[in-house]
Amino acid sequence: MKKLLTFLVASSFCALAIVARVGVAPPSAIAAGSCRGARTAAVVDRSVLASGTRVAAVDGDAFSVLRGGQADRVSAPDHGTGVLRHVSVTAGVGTTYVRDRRGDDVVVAQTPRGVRRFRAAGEALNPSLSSAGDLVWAQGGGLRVVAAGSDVVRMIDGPLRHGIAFSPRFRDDGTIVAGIVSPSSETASEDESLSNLWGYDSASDGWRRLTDFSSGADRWSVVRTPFIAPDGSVDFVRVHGRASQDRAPAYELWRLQGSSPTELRSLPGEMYLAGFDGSARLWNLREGSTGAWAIDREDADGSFRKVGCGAVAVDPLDRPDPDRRSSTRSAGEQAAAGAGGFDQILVGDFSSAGAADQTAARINSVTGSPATVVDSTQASAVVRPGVWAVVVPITTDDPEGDLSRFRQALPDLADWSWIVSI
Amino acid sequence: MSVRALVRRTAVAVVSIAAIVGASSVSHAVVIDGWVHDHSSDGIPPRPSGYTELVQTFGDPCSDRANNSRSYWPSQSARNVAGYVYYHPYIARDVGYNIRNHVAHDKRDKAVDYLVGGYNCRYIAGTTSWSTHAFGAAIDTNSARNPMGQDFWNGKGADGHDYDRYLPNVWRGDYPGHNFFWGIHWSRPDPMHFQYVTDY
Repeated sequence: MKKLLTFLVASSFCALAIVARVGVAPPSAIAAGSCRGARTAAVVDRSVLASGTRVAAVDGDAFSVLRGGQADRVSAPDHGTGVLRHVSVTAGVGTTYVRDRRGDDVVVAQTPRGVRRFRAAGEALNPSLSSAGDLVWAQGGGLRVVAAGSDVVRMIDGPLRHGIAFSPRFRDDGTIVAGIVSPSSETASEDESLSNLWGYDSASDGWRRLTDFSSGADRWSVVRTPFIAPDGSVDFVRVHGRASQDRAPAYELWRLQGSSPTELRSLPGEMYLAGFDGSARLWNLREGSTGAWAIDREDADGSFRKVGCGAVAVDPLDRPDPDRRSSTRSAGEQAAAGAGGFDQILVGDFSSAGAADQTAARINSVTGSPATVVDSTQASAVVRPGVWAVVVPITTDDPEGDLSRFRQALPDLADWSWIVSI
Repeated sequence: MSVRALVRRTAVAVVSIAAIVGASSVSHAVVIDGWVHDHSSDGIPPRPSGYTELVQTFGDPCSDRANNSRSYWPSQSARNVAGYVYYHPYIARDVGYNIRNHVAHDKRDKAVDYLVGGYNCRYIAGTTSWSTHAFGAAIDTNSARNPMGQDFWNGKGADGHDYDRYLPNVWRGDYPGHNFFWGIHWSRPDPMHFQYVTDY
């Protein structure tokens, strides 16, 4: 049967309204052993964080500090409350991280001079230290900077009104590179459509865009986890995809040398930079549904091996974000028996009852299941006026399994079949 | 498998298996005679809490499962322009049968105003965390009047009438409600946002 496209009037929000069905599962990340399980007790060893000589990652309520092929658990030196997040180590200078709390966060910096705490009026993201000991973090649309030896927090407005700043890093020349989320031209929502790397020069108090990625209503592009490479360039991950697509987006490793971005290579799946161990890149990889992060080292031959666990510049997932914590739980288990609503496989839409009738007959002959043609007068919640659809009852307690089997039996209908409740 | 439908900024592509679908998309309030909620655990299944339960229930973000269900909503893509909203089958009966029919049964379709959205493969801005929309576990409604950062609910519907908290009260709440979690009380309020997971 002939397939055609019809374009209907829609709004700028159409990315949420439509769906491009490709049926491809996200690629698996590089295999790594489990990072979820019993943890050893953390020890108080502030020197290792103050010296900034070893890579540290957030591992639950403590830090995992890499040492060769092993890792030590080290208590956070501030003894504060809140979820540990976004730890950054600068060799020979110290360690900084966020105490993520409901409302105002706290940025903590541990250097040989001691522990310093800075209260952020809101959400603080990705603090880092310069080689001179200056501290920077992202907050709202701009940055906050504390000069070495000072406790005065200086505000730096971001380059974009209503933008969101993240992941600032000092470059060797004293400038700061940071990710900036472009404000949406649509209704403000939590989702991100576009971000680029920008550079801030304190001498001129000016910003300059360093990458030139773009997005569309459905197509999005974001940059994540920039790190300063040993040669002074900035390595970062670019992720891009389509909001309507039901498959994993594309992950790429990029390098910013001076002000010239270059794609180094595609990445095999979801992975984020976690820093460098000498000249070797470290990566954070999500461990399935466990909420744990593994740290892999990329060796010179391109192979990866697990060297530890914990979240470096990524968000920890095994602790709820305090800003989104809820005290309520599901009442579903206590719900009483209901009196209606049957899950069915819906195939559509058809522009004529005759076309729907033909498909219903074919479904019946292939699957043996009864197939009924409906329109909006019979199923207004799932079929729009003026079109027809075919519904096939689901008779098992596994609707998704039934849908999968239906699509296998009638692959040409796979992209146009849904589970609905009528 | 190739992408079958691509979308431009001002268009929704609707592909018919057999023939073109080009009918009016004007919303019609329909009385659902005899309709009652399904408050069984099928109609309102247990709501996951935290990332691990979210993934165990809904699968990976941006997966094929995340948009395998749909229902038809008034003022979905623009004021008085109805359209389909896509989401995970786990919430199919709650959204498509309970909540959508609840609004229709109350003859409150005009309480819904644009934009209404479900599945959306995107990150939460500036983070490495996936939006709950990427799991098909969240619905935004009346988004234009209720942008993120606004700490109150604007109850004006598509007809300009103030329906107060009618819609949030339909979406949220424990039994006998529909058990979606409302984002309005987050540190950065998100009044348009209703998700079927907590602590994420």
